[in-house]
Amino acid sequence: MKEGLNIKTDEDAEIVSLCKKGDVDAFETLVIKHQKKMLNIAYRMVGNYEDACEVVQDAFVSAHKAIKAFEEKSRFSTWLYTIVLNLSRNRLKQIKTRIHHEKFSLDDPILTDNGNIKVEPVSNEPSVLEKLEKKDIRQKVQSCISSLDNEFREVLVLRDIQGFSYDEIGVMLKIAEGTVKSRLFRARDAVKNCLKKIMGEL
Amino acid sequence: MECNKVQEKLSALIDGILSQDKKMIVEEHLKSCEKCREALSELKKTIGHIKNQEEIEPPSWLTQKVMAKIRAEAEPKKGLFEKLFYPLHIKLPVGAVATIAIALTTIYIFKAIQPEIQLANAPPEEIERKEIPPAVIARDEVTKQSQQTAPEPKISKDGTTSYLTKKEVLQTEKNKAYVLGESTSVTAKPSEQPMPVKEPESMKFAAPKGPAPVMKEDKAMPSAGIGVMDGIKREAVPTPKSKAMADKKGIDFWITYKNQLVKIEFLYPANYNYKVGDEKLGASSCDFSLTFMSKQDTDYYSLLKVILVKSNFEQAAKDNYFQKEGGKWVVVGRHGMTTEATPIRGKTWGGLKGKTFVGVHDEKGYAGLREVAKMFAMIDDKSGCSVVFYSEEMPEEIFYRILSSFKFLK
Repeated sequence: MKEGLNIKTDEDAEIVSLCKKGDVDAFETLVIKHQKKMLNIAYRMVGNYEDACEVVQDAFVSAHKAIKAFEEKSRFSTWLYTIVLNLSRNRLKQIKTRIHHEKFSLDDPILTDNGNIKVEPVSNEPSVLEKLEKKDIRQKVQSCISSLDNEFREVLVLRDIQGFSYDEIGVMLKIAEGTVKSRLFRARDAVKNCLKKIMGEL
Repeated sequence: MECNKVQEKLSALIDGILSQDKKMIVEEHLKSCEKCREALSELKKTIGHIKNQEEIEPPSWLTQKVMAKIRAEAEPKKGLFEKLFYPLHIKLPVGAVATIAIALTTIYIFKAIQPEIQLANAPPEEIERKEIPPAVIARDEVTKQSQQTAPEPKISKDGTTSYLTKKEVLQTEKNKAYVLGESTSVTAKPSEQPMPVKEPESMKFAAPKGPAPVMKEDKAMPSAGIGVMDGIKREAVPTPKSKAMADKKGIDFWITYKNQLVKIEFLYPANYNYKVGDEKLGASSCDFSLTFMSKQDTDYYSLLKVILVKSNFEQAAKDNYFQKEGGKWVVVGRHGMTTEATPIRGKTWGGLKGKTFVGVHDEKGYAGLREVAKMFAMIDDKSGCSVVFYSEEMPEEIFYRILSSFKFLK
């Protein structure tokens, strides 16, 4: 699995070697190149733009500190995404404690005693505003993604939103490809059921 | 093969990673099993929905901020000044402020006795940069700019820093597609997607006693881009940190507008002007402004959802959880509960207000119901631009006050 990645050439390799020699400007080109994907991963993981921006900043700063230790066993981008995923996980823990201390959000799924999500009434008449509907669906999809446990959300975000291959995801999360496969199945299944509940139908 | 076994494999089937023999077994089963075909179609739709999530754009300041942090850490700690100021390298904002104050005083003194010691300005500036609290974006950039361009440090006449005046912020931000002008706080780059022009329906009110609200802005707007600006509530809730900053200087944050990120800036003690639209789109956009007259109004800003739509009153009400039942408007809450709603109106707008209940939960689970005020207002210029405001929990007077400042920018 991991050998497969070694063979592929890393397009960032040259710039990375400059960075290892202490070239800060070279690092800037890496920041520019990867920030969008980093932000999108972080955003889907933590579900909040401000937090995602901070996660990305921290990720780049840690990557810069650790770049000399980067062994080039995987591609640089893969290594970066691993960092952003780790920091997203940490951030989520912080957010969770923060939410418990602050007030709840109206957008949180409402849980009943047995842990099920309360179902909102679904209007029978379809909205005439396609755009509004689209936005509405996206919000619902995001809330379903947010309701997943971390390990399931990660694979789902990496596969279905970011489009990584199974072996890339395996490397990033340090899990076997079979595990990627089974987690992905369960994650998709959970989102499917969640969407069916809050939208009535898919 | 049993249905549940088959359904477990559907995810892999969609991704095309099922081995040839398993694939054949699953496909054979699907031919004869409607239940599993249904499951496959649902799974495909689900994945479609997930893939449809919009991409977000990084803010223009992200690279600069990352690099400022990295450069600050990468710089070798040598030299007399660093050694002198080393004890002040405290990560707390308090330490930072103190250091900046010292640095600025130093600069000020140097400036007073220039040009002899002009060269000595550089080291304190370096210290200043190192101590920038990461949260203050504008200051970050301005400091950087002053380092690059100004031979002398930027100090206003009275000796205080001028880093947070609006002009400076505007000057220092480079990819300023979002920032249009001096009075503009928010601008957007909407995706160009003109809607076919149609006669918009005039506003219909359910139970108003007086005449329909008078529209002030009646000028033609040929075609209105339809857009939804949302996420204010979700993404724009100022963190305690930015609130604290707001007390002194102002806050800024980002919202999503037509899948573009829009920067909102509030600068104290100015009026808060709010604009959506794109210069280039000209008359085809529905720019408007809201003016936030007081800090109190601004604090409530994050509770206001703004939606630019092209629809009639009833539809807009329905989209915001108000529904007509037996000739009366009601608020539809979670779990299907309804409560009565009453019409409200200002000079240029009409709307509904009501109360609803939401379930609350704590870490232990479901914790009961809580009353929440819901308000909805629609402003329609009768030429294709309608703006809907929706808020939960905003005090009514503030809702009125903010909306009374509404203006279409045509």
